[in-house]
Amino acid sequence: MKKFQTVCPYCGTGCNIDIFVENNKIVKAEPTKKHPVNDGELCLKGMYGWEYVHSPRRLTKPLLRKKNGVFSKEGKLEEVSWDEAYEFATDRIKATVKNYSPNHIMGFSSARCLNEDNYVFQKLFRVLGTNNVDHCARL
Amino acid sequence: MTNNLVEFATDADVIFCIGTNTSECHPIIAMQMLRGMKRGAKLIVIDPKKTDMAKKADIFLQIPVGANIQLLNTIINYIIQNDLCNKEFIKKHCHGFDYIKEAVKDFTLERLEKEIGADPEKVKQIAELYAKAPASSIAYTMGITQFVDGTANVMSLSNLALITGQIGRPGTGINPLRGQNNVQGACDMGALPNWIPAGSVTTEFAQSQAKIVWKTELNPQPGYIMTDVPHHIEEGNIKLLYVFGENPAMSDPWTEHFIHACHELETLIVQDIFLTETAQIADLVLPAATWTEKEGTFLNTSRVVQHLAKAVEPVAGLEPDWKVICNIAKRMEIAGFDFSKAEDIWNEVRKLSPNQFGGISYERIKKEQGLAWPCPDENHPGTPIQYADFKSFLPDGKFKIVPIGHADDEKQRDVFEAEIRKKCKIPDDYPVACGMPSAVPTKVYPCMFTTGRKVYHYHTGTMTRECKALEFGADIMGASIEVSPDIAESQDLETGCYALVENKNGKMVAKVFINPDLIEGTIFTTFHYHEADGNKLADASQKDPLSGMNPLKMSIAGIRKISEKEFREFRIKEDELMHPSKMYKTVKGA
Repeated sequence: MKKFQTVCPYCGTGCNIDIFVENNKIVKAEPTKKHPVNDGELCLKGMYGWEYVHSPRRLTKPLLRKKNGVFSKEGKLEEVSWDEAYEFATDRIKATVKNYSPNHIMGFSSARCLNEDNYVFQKLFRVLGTNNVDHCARL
Repeated sequence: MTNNLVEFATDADVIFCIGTNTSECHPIIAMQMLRGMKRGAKLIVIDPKKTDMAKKADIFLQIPVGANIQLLNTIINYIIQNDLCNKEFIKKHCHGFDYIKEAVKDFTLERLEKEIGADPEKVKQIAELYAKAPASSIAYTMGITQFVDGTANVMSLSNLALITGQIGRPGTGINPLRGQNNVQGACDMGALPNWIPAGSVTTEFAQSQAKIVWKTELNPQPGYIMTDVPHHIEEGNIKLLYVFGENPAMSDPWTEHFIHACHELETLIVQDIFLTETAQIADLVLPAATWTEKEGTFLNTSRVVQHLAKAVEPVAGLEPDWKVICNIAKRMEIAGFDFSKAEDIWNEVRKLSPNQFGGISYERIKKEQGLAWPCPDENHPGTPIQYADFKSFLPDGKFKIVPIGHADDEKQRDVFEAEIRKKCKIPDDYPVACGMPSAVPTKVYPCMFTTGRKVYHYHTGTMTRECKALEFGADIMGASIEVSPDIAESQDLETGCYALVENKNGKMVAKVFINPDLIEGTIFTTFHYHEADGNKLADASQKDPLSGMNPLKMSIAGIRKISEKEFREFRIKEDELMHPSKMYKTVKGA
């Protein structure tokens, strides 16, 4: 069993958690002892809220809305390759910026994701020429 | 937070909690507060709900939803009238004391008792305890901010701390307990329409840093705020929306409006770990690695940057969110996204915002168990307490006390603001604010309707409801509608019966729980459950003039008992609306 120190993914307290892993699966979580934030304690969610990582309902492949094999607003979500997904995303962003303006795209970033995730997300929008990026801090 | 959360345990003599259900929403912070009480600290709790912490408090004052400004102005007035101010602090470090003195002078204990039924003795005790203690700390959450006067509420708390000098020392300060693991970080990283990590997009510093580090001309015009997005989509101003790690189809107020607007987009891209309610209406869904599957940093409520180790290999070879975003940027042939690991990204943040993060390296945060910004260089110890030199971020280093009034409606608000400016000769560029209710019960919608969390779940339940120990173990009650006993009596409801709650924004059904801890005339529910989402009824038409926040905590609604048959029929329709994709129910092999 290997131990990794991480930070709780729920509220903003920032409790440190020791995650124990066996065969690439989390088997238990324990509060990091003597850590200044949570000093060896955890709440229910910190202790038992990791199971979703291994949920069989996790998304594993990109999905694109398609009808008769091509993108359609009337279609249904279908699994596609990463290559097709990236091509669709980049084509649509480029086309929106070109046909309308950079300010016709908008991004919702995430208070649940890493600093590093948030940073590159907002950088992409800024470099494209718009400040249309916000997240659920307000909600 | 201006201070570190551990100071509740180690330094605060008085802990002043307002609009926070701390033990349900921040259990470990509640633990630190209880440790403080063991040391001898006094706990004050002010809330419409008699929360667990309220039951443990030295003084609990139950106030109606949205009565914060009336109460805080009365406390401030009492402190001024009874000479409990910190005159030296005010003289040396503050502007605007005369303005506030004028603004609060009519907020008497008698008037407060008449308007909201608050016991004058208790209010007096709260004012004296807070003002006289060597170190008093304010803690608040969304029971302060999610109103049309949320920013005025926050400024009222700041006024209280400033006139008593309860700031800049251990165990003092103004401490918003952040609700999401990285909401502080998302803001600091520039996931805001007016802000990049180097500061406001309108400033010269941010402009020049963007040029140096990003090699790009930063658009000086702030972008759209989130709460305006459905409107901008309908107006044709937004054609493509890219959502990552967020479920606005459930978390935004007046959810039907948001979902409807999304159908008018040309492109909706959603990047998430599950097929959320928002992902199900997307055109393109991009999966990504999740927590414990990637290395990186979070910023907690005390502004501390902390390190997360990668513990497991991502399912199906998925990549971290940042990598998916970089892949898109690289395909578009945009330079500056060649990061090979999370640490490289963090080092660019340090370059872009050197005054705040320059000294915070991965190596140091791992070794030192986190570091609080600002931390400009490698030898700087970080800043657990803001304003320790009693200097604000304003050019002259002084704090502004903001005169705040209370009105019945928007017209009255404008009258107050104009009058106080004239009377006190307040310059146009000095802030003035005024609170007001966003909803008053009517004959059709006679109840106050408010929302919050339960300890078992988190936000829209995307993660916690996938954890059996929480969903099927701890949370035995599931979605419910909590009502105050007077509503139960007048509407003939009993615990366990089914009821429908509705207003002009939406409807929801669930089992009823009569909660004697709720203040009279109030309905409470959560936003954890897609089958009964309280945000469907939240008011998205009004907002705070400064922050754009909608009054999620304050709506009006009607309630009536329904049969089990009606309940089942409603739930089926609800499920069809929230989960249009057949894939949602598919359980794939692990």
